[in-house]
Amino acid sequence: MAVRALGQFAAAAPVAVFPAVGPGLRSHVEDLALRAEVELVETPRHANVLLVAGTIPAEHREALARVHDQLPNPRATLRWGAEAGRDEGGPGDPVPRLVALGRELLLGERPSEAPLLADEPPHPWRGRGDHGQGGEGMMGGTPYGRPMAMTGDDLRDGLALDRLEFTIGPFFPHLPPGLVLRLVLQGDVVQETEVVSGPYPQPPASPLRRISRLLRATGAPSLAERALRLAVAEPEPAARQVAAFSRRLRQALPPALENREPLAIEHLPHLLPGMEWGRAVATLAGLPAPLFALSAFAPSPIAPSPIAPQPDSTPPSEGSWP
Amino acid sequence: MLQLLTLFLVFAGAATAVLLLPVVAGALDRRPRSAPQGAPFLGGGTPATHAWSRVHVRYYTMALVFIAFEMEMMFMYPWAVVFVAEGAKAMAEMGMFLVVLSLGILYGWREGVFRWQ
Repeated sequence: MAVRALGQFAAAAPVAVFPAVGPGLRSHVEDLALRAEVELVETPRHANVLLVAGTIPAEHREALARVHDQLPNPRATLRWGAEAGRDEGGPGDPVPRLVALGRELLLGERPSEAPLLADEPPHPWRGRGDHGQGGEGMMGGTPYGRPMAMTGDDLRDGLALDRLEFTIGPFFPHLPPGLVLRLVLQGDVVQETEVVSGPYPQPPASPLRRISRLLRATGAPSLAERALRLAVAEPEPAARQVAAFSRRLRQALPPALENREPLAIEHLPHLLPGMEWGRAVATLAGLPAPLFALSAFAPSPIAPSPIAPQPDSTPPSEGSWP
Repeated sequence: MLQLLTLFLVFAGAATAVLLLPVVAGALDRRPRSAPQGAPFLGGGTPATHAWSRVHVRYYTMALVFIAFEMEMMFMYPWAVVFVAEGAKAMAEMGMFLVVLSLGILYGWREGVFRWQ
């Protein structure tokens, strides 16, 4: 009885959705953040429903399955706009189906989805040595088939730190969907970057929308939502509102975020190393040219030109990187 | 005797709670833990290195200098109160203490703690 009442109570809350965004639907998924019935969450661990937007390319199916299995039970998947992404009418509204799915899950009317990947450790235990570490003393070895991180000289100040190597993406929030990076971190400083696969093609986004992405990545969700509301305003936001928002931005943002060169995917291996992780994510958040968009927006807030969409392919400028 | 009994009862209650609570938590926990759910969330990516890794204690130079100077002052205030009464003995004791601490300062100096960056 009490469990049933709790289920009713939980089902009345906004449904927690983790989006895995495919080609062409990034803006559509972002707009769901403005809907009261849906809460877009940052990790699958906080989600009830996995929203697969668009057609995920075959090489990222395993990554999608991994994200799917990381949703806690009970969980459900909604495939949205797989064929309709390029249609004239857009992909339709997923919110009623999301709400229905979340409600059925929480009231126990719908079974949880089975995992897609095998329930076994990716690297089984093959330990040897005193503590099963397989190496010499406390250094090296490959416990569970993964090598232990070894030290290397840090870019920041030369201290020898453990090099943590991993791939991130294609569905990491704030990063452009489809972007897969192989990264080496020491502490929170990026040491090496390699682009495994580039972002999915997306229609051009307005500067206000890119500012919204950047703000969300820097941990300012309410400002990001305000920018998004201005970005989706029809036919266009009132100049008074834009001016007020621009003033608020300049109060809130550090000056270092303005006046940067345009950014292209080829620059990442040279640009990211030496950055701290949070700054790297903020840089990647609105690829391409998130900071360019911001500086174009801030100095002349009332001029109509920054509101017009800009082409998503900014020409790379050679030799202008610090 | 009554105090001993109270102590025993408190100890027994604490031990029961410690032993019982994990059992209760396990009984209420319905989350099936699978291997994919145990992996870190990297947006579909995977780690290439094992999670056993060491973190550099970057603040250790500051900690060294803090202990060298702060501990010195902490003991010198009470020492100054009894110095007149104790005389040469207190002087010798504090001298030995300061020698040990100054070794730490010399070590830090050699490691470049006092170099402004």
